[in-house]
Amino acid sequence: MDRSPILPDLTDDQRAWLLESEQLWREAGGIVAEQPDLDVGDVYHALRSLRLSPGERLRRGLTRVRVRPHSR
Amino acid sequence: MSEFVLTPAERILLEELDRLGVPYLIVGMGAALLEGATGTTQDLDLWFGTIDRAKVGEAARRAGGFYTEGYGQQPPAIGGEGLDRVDVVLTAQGLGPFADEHAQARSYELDGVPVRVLPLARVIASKRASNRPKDLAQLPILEATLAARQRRPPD
Repeated sequence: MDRSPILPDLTDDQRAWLLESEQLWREAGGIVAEQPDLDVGDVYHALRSLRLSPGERLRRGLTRVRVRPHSR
Repeated sequence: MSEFVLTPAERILLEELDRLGVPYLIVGMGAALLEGATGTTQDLDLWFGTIDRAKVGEAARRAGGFYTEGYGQQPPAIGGEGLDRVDVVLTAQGLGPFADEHAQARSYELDGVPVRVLPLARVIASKRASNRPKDLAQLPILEATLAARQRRPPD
């Protein structure tokens, strides 16, 4: 793992998150370079969303609160 | 605590539609979210090519709800406890015949229930054709997601 001084005082988990996130921003930048009409932030968040399961994506986006909590 | 996407009634409804052989597609922003878009929606839009009243009514009944063809200003709907997020869609702008779109739909599982979902590119086509401000406003995020998807293997 990159332990360069540019990432000081971070835990391993924090450093891993930052490196992964930076990689996504880099990938988003590459996509936007090819399609400049896109917003790099939108592409970044889409790349992040695509790492989730489809069900989790929908769960996060459905805003109307259920009438009551439920379990199986 | 377990976290499910669907309410129990929604899960039963989708299971029963499947069991009764009622074809439908999840369309709109719900489909876009499943395909990876960020954003929000209040509804789960189910597009039926044609409504088989008996079967849709039976599926709704087994889910603890009911189906109505509409009343006054009320469009056709599935109602009942835990089903208020479900919207019945009978016409979808900018899309081909239901059978064609259904044949090209994507398959997902929601809480273990198999569902068919309109692909993101077709959601975009539909929203563009609708030309409603709220749909047009969502296009930048959906287009960004489509571009991102093209860099990822299919779900």
